[in-house]
Amino acid sequence: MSNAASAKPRTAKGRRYIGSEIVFNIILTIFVLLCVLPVIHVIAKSISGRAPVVAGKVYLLPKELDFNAYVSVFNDPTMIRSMWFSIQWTVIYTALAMVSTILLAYPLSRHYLPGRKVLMVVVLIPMYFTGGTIANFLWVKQMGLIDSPWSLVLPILTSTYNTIILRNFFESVPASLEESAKLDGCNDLQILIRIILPLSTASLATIALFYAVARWNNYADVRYYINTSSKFTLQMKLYQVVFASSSSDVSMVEGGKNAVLAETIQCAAVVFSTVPILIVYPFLQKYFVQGVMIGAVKE
Amino acid sequence: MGANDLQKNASGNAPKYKRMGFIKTIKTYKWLYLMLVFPLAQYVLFRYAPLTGLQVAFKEFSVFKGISKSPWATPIFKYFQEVFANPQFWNAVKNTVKLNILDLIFGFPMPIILAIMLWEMRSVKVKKVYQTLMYLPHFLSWVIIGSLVVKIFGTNGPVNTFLSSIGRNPVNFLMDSGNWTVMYVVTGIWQSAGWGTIIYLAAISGVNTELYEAAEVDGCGRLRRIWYVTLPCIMPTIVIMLILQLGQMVGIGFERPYVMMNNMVKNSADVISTFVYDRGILNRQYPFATAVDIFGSVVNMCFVIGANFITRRMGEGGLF
Repeated sequence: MSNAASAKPRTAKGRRYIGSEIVFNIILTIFVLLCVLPVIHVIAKSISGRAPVVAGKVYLLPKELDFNAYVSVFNDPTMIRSMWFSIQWTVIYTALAMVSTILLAYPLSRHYLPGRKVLMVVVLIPMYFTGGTIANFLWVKQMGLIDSPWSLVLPILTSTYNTIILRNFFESVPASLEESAKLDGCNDLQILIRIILPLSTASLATIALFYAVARWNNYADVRYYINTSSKFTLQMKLYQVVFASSSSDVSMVEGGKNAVLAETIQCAAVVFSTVPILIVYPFLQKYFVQGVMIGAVKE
Repeated sequence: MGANDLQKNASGNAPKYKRMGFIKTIKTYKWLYLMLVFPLAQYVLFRYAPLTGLQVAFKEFSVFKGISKSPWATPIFKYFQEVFANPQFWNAVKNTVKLNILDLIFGFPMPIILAIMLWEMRSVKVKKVYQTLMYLPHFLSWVIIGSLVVKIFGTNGPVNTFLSSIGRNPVNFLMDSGNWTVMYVVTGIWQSAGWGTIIYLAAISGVNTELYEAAEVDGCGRLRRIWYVTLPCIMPTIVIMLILQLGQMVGIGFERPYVMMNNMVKNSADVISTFVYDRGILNRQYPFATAVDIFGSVVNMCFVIGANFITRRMGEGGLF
């Protein structure tokens, strides 16, 4: 009896639930398609000829393959400059943010450190009460950072959320490693660099990716603090290309007043800005899921 | 420090440092304290110092005099009175609450439904692929998402060409305030529902499989099993997520409404953050905009603390 019961379930279950299985799969497939199709549509438009795009004939497959839109994007010095500017400052920001986060998370993870509780409160308060847009803006202004790329780095240098994730991880490293290193005469900085960090590469990668994506995608602070177009990040540049293409400050293509040409170029610009994310996405996906799970574990 | 101190720490006893003098404490832990200098300087300079700017809300602020030398407003709450008498402010508050409630009603259940359906999927490979594709929108910036929306639902977009090809009238998805609100909510779901499944999938995977087997033995079909076993088991997670979202009722980030907004729908799309940007940064009405900021911060903090209080009362341990 028990034998028969344990042998059966899989197939029996499969046959019995086939109806709901199909419904679930259909719904999920529709949702997944909805997630991906918009991106495919824009890619298709970006490599289509003018005429089919005007006629609205391009849905998911490109018509009259034409890469001129990309030629225009790559020939546009402001676009390339924004891409370069974004990459440069994302790297600078991520590097500095990692240093700052590590230096904060490690002492916070040492239970024996006198003053740790006070420190934790100091770090947590800004999570719940912030000065708000204007107070921050006036402060950045007072510091003379308006229109400086540092305004995109310094105010958001250490994320409390990421610090707590990293602190939780550091806490989970066995204390015996630290003790034996101390007996060997290492100081805390040496312990951090030689022992703790090499053990935490996965967490560090997760957090570095959190920072890099946040900086890359952030648009609001560029809007608030940056006025000169040579310091526009790619997001800001894209906003201008797509949403303000009628205004005069957009120098996409000379002679590109033609609205339809602009349409394919706009799509190419969207793809151009999405590609960096798509390139790192496979790595991101793995690490981000881990990161969410680490963060979900309560302190 | 000697091996003795180490042993005390290692054995996990109550901290003994209180017996140490101040100087000795600093000396013993000098490296740990030195590490803190850089990050704490950042906290002081860019988290705490900007708070001094909040006094602008109570001052006749002049850029030339600076914050500290500008005279106090008379009466001191002058700008708060102005804010509370401003119909556009109340419009922004109303929109903020309205959009958040819509997000809550339509956006909140989506990841739960998706997570349950994903969990029930048999093919592990397909599941992996679906998850990977579902998470993608979460990594796109709001500017990119906004661009996609304009390209797809704009007047020349494929949706409208399709509608006219089947003989329907084109729909103004983004210029009509009712349609815009729908688009706003749908876009939000698009961006975050897939990503939101992670936390629920984790919760579902923690459900004891014996419960499923018991339900099976009792003759439960799949839907009943979901209703009577899965949902009750992940209820604590659902409640925590719900309360977290309730805690954010008064705040809407700047980017999502801003990139989707246009002049035609400004009235129903203006939320607190965009209102502050418009008044403060664009029009330089610093005291007025700071007053709005303070209003938002204080109400938000009340919601967060309230939400935390509720989770504690429910025995979930609180969020902080």
